[in-house]
Amino acid sequence: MSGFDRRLTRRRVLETAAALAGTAGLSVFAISCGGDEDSRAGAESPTAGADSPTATTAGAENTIVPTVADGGSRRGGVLRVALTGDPPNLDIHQTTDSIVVLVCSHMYETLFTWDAEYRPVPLLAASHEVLDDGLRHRVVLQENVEFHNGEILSAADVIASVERWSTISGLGEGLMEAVESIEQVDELTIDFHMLERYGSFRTALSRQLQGCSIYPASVLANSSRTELAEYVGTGPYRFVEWLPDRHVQMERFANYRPTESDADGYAGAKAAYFDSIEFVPVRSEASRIAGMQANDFHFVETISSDQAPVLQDASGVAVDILPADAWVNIVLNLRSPLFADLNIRRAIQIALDHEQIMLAAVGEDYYELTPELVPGAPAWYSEAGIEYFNQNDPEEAKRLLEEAGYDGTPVRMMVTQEVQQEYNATLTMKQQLEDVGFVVDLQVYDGATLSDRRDDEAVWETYTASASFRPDPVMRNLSSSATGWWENDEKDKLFTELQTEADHDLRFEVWEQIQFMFYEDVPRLKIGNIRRVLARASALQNIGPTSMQPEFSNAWLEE
Amino acid sequence: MIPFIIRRLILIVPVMLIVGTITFLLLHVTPGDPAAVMLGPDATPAQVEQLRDDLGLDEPLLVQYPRWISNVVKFDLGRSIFLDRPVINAILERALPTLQLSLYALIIAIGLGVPAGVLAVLKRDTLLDRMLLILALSGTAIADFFLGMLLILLFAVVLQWFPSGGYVAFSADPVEHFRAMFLPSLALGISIAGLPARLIRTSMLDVIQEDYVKVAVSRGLSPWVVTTRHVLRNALIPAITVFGYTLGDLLGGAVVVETVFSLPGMGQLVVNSIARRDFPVIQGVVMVIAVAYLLANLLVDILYVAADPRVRVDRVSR
Repeated sequence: MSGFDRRLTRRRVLETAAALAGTAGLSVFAISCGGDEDSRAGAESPTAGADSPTATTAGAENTIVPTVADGGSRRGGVLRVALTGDPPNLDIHQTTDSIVVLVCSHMYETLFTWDAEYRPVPLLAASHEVLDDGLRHRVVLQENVEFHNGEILSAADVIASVERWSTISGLGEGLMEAVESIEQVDELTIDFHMLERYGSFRTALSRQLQGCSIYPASVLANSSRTELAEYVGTGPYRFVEWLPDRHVQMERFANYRPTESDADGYAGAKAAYFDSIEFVPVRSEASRIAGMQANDFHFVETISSDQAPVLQDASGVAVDILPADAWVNIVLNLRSPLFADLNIRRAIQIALDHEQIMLAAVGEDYYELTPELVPGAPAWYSEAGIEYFNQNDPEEAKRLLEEAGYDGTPVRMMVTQEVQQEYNATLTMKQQLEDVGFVVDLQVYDGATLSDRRDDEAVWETYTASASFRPDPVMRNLSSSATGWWENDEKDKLFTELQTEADHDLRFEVWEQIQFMFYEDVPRLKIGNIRRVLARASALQNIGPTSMQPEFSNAWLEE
Repeated sequence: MIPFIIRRLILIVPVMLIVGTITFLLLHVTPGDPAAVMLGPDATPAQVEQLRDDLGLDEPLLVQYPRWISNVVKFDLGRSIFLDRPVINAILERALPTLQLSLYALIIAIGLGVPAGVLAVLKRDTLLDRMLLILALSGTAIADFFLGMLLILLFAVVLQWFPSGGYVAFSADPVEHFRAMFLPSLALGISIAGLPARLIRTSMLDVIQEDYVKVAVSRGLSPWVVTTRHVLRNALIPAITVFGYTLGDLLGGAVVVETVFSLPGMGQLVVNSIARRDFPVIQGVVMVIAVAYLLANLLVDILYVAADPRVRVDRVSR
């Protein structure tokens, strides 16, 4: 935050001094208490429906409209974005941390990305053909796409990037298991020769967490699996500097050539209105809120729902309550001796009152109780397994526990307080489980310890997480190698079909079967969908879609 | 004096060895894995294992520890797992904001505390004396983060006189530098100002009983001259020791204040490094802070001797 704009002037002092006495006390109270019932009631109630494509802007005059706009008057300025912390690195190949996608998607691009309907469409690719009965995917690149270091994008860069990515990312590894060889046909054409059909080819190579961003082969030649030698991409902004704990700074890439198509979701033209973008890590939520109120930031990465009323009343700030696109996810350890018994898992599933848990987690207005596992992607909405969802039948749970011969072995529930909604949900769940006869051992850790312990199958029964948005269910990691270890041959077979099949209708049928198995087999518990809250300066316009992290490539600041 | 200083400097070596060993062992028995943090929430156990291998984190402690110690002896604190740079560079980049914060906070603390202590003595046993005592205790008792948030709310949100956080280098823009540093320095300064205030008051009340003060008064010197030249000057001697120990309060407070104000200092560095289990950085910062502590204590002892010739070096060093 090197550039705070406001200068101290005598006029400002006189203007604000009069307002001080009356407002300071109230403001202190408001920020300390996180808002009260009156201010919450004053907020515009968000509309329900997971398939609503636009965000609700509560208490503000702006609505996000995902369309590109032009006009020289929008050009210029510095966008300041408050992040919840530093990115662990600036290499999308490396991490599933969403903050890296938020920052780096302005610098790097992928072969494909998502349109407004969350369909995978070409970005760096000019075309994609499926040949030889699905056993060859031909990708032709756009011409004269320039990297930030002046090199021109070629097939060699794509092959080098895909090869590195596939040794790091689970998704890349999965793709390469189906690839026999990658052939550079000419300077701009690549053929992927497949061992088997791979219908989700575009999905695998689209923008996502730990996605396959395309770096120059020359940079990768000097990079390792764990470190990039330089931060060079083809995006509309190029890297300037990263001072950890201070900022990541990037500036408009003058030679960026936007495609001629209109902006469409994350695809199409990118206007790059801002001269530069500054991402500032602000770990304390209270400081992020205060920074937003003080107009030091234009965008705050995320805020908890109970802070929304505080910001709704702030001048120059808009609060966007997004359509539901994530869910509270209780991961069960199927390798735990206790949870090897399906009846025990079913007893937990039946015992829970999802409404109470979601109320505790995020509060009224910020959740939905629907069973689909890919909320935010209407094309994949399914109610398969709804009969198992939110049963809230404690008596039946008690009966199942008795039938299973539950002997009081403690259920070790791990959670971190660093994500308040997960912690609140777990506390309520603990109470509900104890009410039906479970003995619960609640274990609260910091995030790093929880990440470590969840990989050890011997030390836990459940941990609480948030399942983030996925535009395609094949991206939801339900494999037997994911923590929780859901080993089920039938499910694995269906998942392979989901990967290989290209026809959406057929894939949807397969997905419905998997979703039903999810509820029948109880490897995890979906509690409820979360409506996330974003805060931005009222002047910040046209952010575009946010489910795969917001991108500011077509946003601008109103005068 | 010189042999005393040399002896103290030599003693730093075993102290640092103990500090380094304890820190290393504590960190490595604490659960938490930088590889898991780096890979993010959706990584599989196999991916985490692979990255641990790539980063050399799965080597036995008996291999890691001697290598680390031998590097430290060569002033090589290793390379940060997350920050893509040597630990010593990461520390040096952040040392300046913390030193500036501490210096400005100390100036504010002395600027508020010493006059308050003197005033309390001059007006002792009056309502003003009691009010000052209450203020001093309140400043010490109030949590740094809470005071910081109150200051942000008043001066950044309501009045908009100062930014809510961030750092501007002095060399880049001196005016903006002081604007950015004012609120964090004030928050930290107020929280430690109570100590000099109470200390000066107590110390001056002791000195005021001395014969030479009575002589000064009987000579007809003005109360101002007696207070500043004879009482305050002598009352400051014991205060020097205590000011040295406020270094701990300053660094402890800086951790919190830097987080609230998003200052990229040593406090932020250590907090963030603990959260992401960046072992080399945590070890490096602890070593640097320990050395700073030892040197500050040595400096205080030297100043104490210099300020009061009655104190002999052998008494200090005992």
